[in-house]
Amino acid sequence: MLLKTYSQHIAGLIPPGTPAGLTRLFDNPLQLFFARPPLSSAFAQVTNGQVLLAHLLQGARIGLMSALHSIFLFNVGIMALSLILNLFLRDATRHK
Amino acid sequence: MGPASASPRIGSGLFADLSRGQLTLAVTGMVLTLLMATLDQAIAITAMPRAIAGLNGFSRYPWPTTSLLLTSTLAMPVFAKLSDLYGRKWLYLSGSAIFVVSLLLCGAAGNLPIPVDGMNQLIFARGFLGVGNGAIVALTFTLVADLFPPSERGRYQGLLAAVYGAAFTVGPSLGGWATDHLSWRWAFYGNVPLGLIAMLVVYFTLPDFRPRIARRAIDWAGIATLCGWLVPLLLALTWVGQSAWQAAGIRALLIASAGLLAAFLLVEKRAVEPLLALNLFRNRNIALMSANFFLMGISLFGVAVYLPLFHQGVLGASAAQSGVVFAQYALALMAGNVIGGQLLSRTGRYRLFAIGGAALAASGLFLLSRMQGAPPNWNSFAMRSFAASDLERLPPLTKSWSRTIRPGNNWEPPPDLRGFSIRSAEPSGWRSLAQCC
Repeated sequence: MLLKTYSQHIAGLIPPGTPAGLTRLFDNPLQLFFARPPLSSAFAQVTNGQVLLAHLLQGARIGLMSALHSIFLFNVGIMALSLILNLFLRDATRHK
Repeated sequence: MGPASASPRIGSGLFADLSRGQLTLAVTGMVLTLLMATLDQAIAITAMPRAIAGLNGFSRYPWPTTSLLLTSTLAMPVFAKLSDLYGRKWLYLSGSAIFVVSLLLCGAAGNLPIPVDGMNQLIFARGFLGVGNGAIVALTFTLVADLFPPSERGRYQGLLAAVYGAAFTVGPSLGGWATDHLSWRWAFYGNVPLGLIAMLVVYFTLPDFRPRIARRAIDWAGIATLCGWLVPLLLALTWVGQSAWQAAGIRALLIASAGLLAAFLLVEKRAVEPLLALNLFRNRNIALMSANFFLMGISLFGVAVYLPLFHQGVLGASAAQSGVVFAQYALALMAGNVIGGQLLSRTGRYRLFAIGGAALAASGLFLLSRMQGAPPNWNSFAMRSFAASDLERLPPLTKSWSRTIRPGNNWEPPPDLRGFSIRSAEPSGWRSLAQCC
């Protein structure tokens, strides 16, 4: 769920014709945020590279957030199911 | 000074032979060992996002935790039963040794001379560590039952539960500090000295004994089919992110998993001492609570694994900052547990708290799913709300469980599970199974 949601989000932000080598840098958002690869020099090779880079960095963060939101929301459903199951519980009698 | 020893005998009578001082020293060793095991899990919570980033493993993000839970779940009954055969002490020390070696392997992941990438090295190391963790957890609680009479066990089980609370309050911050100031590798290496000290204390203070029970059956077929069911399922769920449900490889894995699930159920139905006692499900409350523990396991995993990722990856927090936030969550868990237990004791209303807790948990999770890129004040409120609510219903469910399956009420644990009580192990087993998935 994490990977799929993130990948779909980031794929929608990348303009056609962007070199595959640059798009691959966004496959792993954690590396992007923590390791900070030399993105500026890589994106300087394409037209409007810096604007595209800023756009993609922001998009990667939002993509990761959306993916995590999906996971939390999935868990809301899980807890709702749990609540329904609890309705069928019988109170166990207390014994001395 | 030599290692402590005692003649082989039934564990439940051992407490009569040991002085109060010997017992205190033995418990100290067990507490240190359990502290090492729980601290690792707590430390890994905040260290893992950086470790996975460093090892380029985003596509396999949950696997290090999953592999630990899977092997830990499987190791628990195996070590409990092996210790009945060969004695507790050496199995306990073996589990600790496996754990310490695995910590070193986790810290060295990516630099190990084996032909798999760094992320897979970490996954395998965490899986190996899970074996040690399963041994430690199972045998620590078994040893309490061996060393103390029933009237005193509650006090020592409470002490061990406090170890969990302390570890999960302090551990994430420790892991965060080590990650920020040293490296994620030191989040694992840092626990090694504690492990070595714990092993020394156990070696010198824990008596060597074994219960006197004639027959032991380990459900190897159950273990094999459980692995066979879960591993292809987990692989399919992981790889579907990079392909589609219709892909031939994904389909093959799902079919294999379904076939092995059927085999697992068949094996468990016939096993003398099954991993999963299917006859439990004849009781409606047990069946419902098993499903509930399974569902709670999924939601707890979702928060424990992905909340630090949200803080570090989305909000840009340091590992130490996310550790502090997680400590609030851990404190709320403990508070919810205590409050839930107290309310239950006073009212005896299991069902009410289980329903209310699930409703609050769903609300808290919904708030988490609305968190934005900047941290507003209600972030921590959402987390506390979830934590307190979810765990508030844990004591009601657990107590209801143990009361429902008391002797004479539909199901009794096999006699040889006297030490490793399946009554308390089953709920955690369900949670672990869910977290593996």
